[in-house]
Amino acid sequence: MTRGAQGLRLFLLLVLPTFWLALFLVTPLAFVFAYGFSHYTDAYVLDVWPPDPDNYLDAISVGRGAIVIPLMVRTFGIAALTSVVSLAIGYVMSYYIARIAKERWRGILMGLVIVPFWVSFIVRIYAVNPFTNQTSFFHQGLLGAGLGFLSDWIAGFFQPGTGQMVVFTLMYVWLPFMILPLFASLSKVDPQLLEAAYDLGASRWRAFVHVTLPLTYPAMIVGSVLVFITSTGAFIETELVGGRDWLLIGNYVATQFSFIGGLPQAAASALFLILATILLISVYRKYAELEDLGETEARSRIMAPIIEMIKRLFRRGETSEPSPTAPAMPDGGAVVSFGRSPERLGGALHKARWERILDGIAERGGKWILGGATTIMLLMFFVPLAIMAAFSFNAEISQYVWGGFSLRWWVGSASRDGLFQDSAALESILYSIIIAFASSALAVFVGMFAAYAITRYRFRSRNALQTMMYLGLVIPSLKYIIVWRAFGDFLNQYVLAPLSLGYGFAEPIQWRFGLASVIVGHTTFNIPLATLVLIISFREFDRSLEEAAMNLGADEITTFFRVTLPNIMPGIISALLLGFTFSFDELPVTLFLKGDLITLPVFIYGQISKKIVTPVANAASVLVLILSMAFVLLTLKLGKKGGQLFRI
Amino acid sequence: MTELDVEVKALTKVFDGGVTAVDEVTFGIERGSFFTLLGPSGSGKSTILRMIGGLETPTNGRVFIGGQDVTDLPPYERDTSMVFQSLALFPHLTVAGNIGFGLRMRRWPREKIGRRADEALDLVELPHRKYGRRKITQLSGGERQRVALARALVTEPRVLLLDEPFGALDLKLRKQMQVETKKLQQRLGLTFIFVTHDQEEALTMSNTIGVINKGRVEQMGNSKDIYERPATKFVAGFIGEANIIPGVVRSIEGGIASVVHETKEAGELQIRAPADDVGEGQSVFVSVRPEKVRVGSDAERCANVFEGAVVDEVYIGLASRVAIQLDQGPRITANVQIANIGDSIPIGSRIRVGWDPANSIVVTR
Repeated sequence: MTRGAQGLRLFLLLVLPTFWLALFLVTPLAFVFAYGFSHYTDAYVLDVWPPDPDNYLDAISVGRGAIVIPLMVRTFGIAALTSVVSLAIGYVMSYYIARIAKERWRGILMGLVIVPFWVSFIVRIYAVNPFTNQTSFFHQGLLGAGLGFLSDWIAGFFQPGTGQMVVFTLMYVWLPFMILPLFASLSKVDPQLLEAAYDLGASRWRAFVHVTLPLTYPAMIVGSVLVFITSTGAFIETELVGGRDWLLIGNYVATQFSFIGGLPQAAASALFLILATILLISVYRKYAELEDLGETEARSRIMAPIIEMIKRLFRRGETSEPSPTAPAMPDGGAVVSFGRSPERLGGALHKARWERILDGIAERGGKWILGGATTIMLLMFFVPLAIMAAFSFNAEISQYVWGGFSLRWWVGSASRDGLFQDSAALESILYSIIIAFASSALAVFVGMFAAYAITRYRFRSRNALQTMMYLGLVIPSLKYIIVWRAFGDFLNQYVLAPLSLGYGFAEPIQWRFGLASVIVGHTTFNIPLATLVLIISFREFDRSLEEAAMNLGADEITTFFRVTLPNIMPGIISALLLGFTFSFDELPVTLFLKGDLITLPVFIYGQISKKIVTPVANAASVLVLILSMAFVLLTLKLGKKGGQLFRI
Repeated sequence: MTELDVEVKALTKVFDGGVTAVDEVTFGIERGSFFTLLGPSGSGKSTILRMIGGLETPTNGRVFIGGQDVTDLPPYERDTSMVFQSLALFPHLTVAGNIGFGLRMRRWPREKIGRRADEALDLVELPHRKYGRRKITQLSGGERQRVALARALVTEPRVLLLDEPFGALDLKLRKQMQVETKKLQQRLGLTFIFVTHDQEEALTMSNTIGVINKGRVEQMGNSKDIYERPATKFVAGFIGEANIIPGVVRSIEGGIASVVHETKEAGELQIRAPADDVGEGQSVFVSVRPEKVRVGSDAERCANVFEGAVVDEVYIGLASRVAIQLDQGPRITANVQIANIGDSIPIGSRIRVGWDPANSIVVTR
């Protein structure tokens, strides 16, 4: 193949994905930057000229009355705490599933971890309600059983409007982001390395600290960064459980957008958040790559000093204990003979007391402790969902008290319409399906070009393309919204309005947000996801099959359609289904791009945000639940890749 | 009697699925000897090694190291070190970090670990200045091999266990590592237990070989014993090559047995063979190595002479390997030296084959 032909081919492959991401991801980012310099004129018209740095200055001000910096600090604090809590819980669960649970249970357990992830997070947050509200049957049951103190403690600790509830909720919702990379990494640790460590004198505990733990640092970092980034962008979560005192930067940005005149401030503060995210992405990418390459030295160099410091802190108390191997050691620089020297040191292994205790615990109870913790977490995932589903059949209006079985919230009663009579609800399902279908198909189409180019060619802009992909993958949805709204508003005000008026229209033509904008938005966040899945498929595809086909006389196009495509079909299907489920449950992006459109999650959000929440919300949630689960099962069945998706 | 470093008694391992991997194996290993467990894959030799190292719990039987019963001790409390088949080098540590691991577990101070690791590297002929700070991923196969060896030796174990460590190396490197490992063992005077499926490797390196098949010890002995006096049909066939002909002892005369191989179609083949430990009427196998089989005029001077047709000839460099279908049934393989370049033995030609009883052996199972 000539150089020129290859160049043309590459150009054709790259033009669509690059164009899409540049237009809908990077350009809007630039507009946000520009809007940060804008201001409103006295006539309430947005003006970007002359540039006004006040918004940025306000955003970075730390003086009296500063809003953005204190909110940022709080947000990052909450996000960091969430990452740490998720890491601790996630590590225990993934360790149990990857290393202790029997092989045939492993897939099922991972499935149980992933399934809630596909259920819309509002549904999941909503489902926890009965456990935090003391009037609920759960707390009444505790009181009835004489466990009032427990009821008080639970209701006190998990009280909406407290910091710990915000951290808990974020952890609860985003824990799978932590578990998936950790699980992948832990199952890759070669058991023979642990045997080697035992053989060289490491007890269980020390083998874990010196071998397993360092080998999973990259996954720990990847998982923490994912949870951290997601948490910094949270705003619906905090709106539901944060009360007034624990709103985060996301809430500020979202609120600013809703106010007329708030756009410049929102853009400026959002840009900070985006910069912080990009910084974290670079850390994330570095470690994701290290993980890929099996490079572990560099990361232990970063972690080692931290661990050494912690160790020293702990050791301080133990210094009085003499090191028993010290006297037995050959001293000085004399050449030590190997083999049978008189002062052989084999066998004489000393365990510190704490180590003996920990080993004892690990050997006798480790399995049960880790298994118990995993079970409790899984129950925490599923019991609320099950109860929520049950209460959609409640005869009473309450979420908290069971009043007998009834279908009234589904099919309606004499006095009130049920879910199936609500035309908005039914329409929302239809829209959700249309959006999910269109955006996932588009994303796979675009992602296919990108994945093919990335796996098959080396080109100069490859890094840029991959960066855009990662950007799209990890920027929290909140930022899309800002970016998007900013872009849309800019188009309306500076392009469409002057143009249409200039051509003599009576009214300025405006781009209305609605179905199209939601589809484009969803497609944009689905493209990186689809690309990632397809890259895995393309990498796993044995290229000698293509060579064989060409050797047998098929030209390149025929080879692609007859050999390559059928072989990566599972990847395509799982990318489609994954995009479908993500889009189907998506709320934040939709909320800001929807115009007058109502999708199913938007409908549920509306139901839940009402002053008096009726079990219609439960019924709608159950519908989302059932549809999501159906897609999940289909994904798992059709493409084995479903489980590997988060090995990002 | 010399001191036994390792002793296993009635060692048995039944895996969860009910598969008996090791079946009542008993042997002792002298201090400072190079002991090899040789057998085909799946014969249970690695399982025996792992039970000695404490990585596998025996279903039955005991393991003694230095006279002490260690059966119930975890690996980290045993005086053994293992060189793993996969080498199991820690990818997150440098070469020096890997070698120092065992010492770190013994809570040596950092400087001493460094010095000792350097010595260990020098011992396996990897200059520590050059290699100490390298990553495992930057090493070649042979270098990794040496690092694994150094890591196992640095804690001065009583017994070094090696589980097919050279499996991944190319032939030349493999030979070199064999020689060096053997030298190292002689220099250090340590007991090495070596597991391999490569009979040539076993023959060149070992003081004692235990041939393992289906979880049992078929034969124990030195290289010469094993090769020249195989105790069973399996050993004869597994170590080197052998023509194995089943038959029945018809008579014994002057230390020579007359073994009859009978088939319905081709009738009787009478073979004269050494009559050690066999009685009349007993079913036996006569084993003769291809290099001991003579052909053509050489064959006529032998005590056993048969005639057959050449069915196959394979050039193997030093000689030609010729398969001959005897008129009385069995097919015999012979290594034939070709004296002149260009000579060959045409397929289909009639040829005489023969061997002396002293060059064959008789096994009963």
